[in-house]
Amino acid sequence: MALSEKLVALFLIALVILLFLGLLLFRSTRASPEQRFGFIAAVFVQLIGTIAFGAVVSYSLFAIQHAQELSEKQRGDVDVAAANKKRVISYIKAELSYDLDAIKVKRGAGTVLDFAIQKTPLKSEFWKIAGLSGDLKWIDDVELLNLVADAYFNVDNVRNWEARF
Amino acid sequence: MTVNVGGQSMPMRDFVKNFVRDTYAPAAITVEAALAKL
Repeated sequence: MALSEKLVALFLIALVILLFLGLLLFRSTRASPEQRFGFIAAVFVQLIGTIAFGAVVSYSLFAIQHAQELSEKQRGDVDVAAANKKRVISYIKAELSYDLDAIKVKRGAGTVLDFAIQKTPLKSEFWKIAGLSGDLKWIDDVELLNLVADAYFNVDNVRNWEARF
Repeated sequence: MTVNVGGQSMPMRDFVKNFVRDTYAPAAITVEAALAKL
C-alpha cells in the first residue's frame, strides 16, 4: 500500500472514531432542541471542512508521489537507453574492426587474394540483425548512424564482388 | 569468359579481381571513418 493510500485510510478511520465519540457525547448530553440543532450543524460543518481538508492533503500527497515515481522512471529509462546504446555501439565497433582488419589483409594479399577472401570473409551480420530487431533505435545520433551505414554499404559492396570472384 | 574494358578484351576473372581490389580502398576509408566516430 502506498504512503498516500495509508494516510487516506488512517484519516477515514480517525474520522469514523471521532464521529462515534461525538455521537456518544451527543446522546449522553442533556440539551434543548435548539442546542442539539446547533451541535449537529457545527459537527456537520466541521465534518465537511475536515473532509475537504483531507481530500486536498491526500491529492497533494498523491500528486507529489506520482511526480516522484515518474521522475524515477524517466531516470531509469535514460539509464537503460544509455546502456543499450553503449552495448550496440560496442558490437558494431567489434564487427567493423574485424572488417577493417580483413580488408587490410586482403589489400596486402597480392597473388593469394582468392585465398585471403575465403579465409577472412567480411561480415555485417550484427548490423543487419540490429536493423531488423530495432536495436539501432538506441543510437540517437543520426550522423553517426549515417557514417556506419555508409561503411556497411561499402563492406556489403565488397562482399558482393568477392562472391563473384 | 572475357569482358570488354575500354576497347580491350580482358578475362572476366582479372576484371573482377581488379574490381574487388578497387572496392577495398573506399571500404577501408569509410570503415575507418565510422570506427573513429564510434
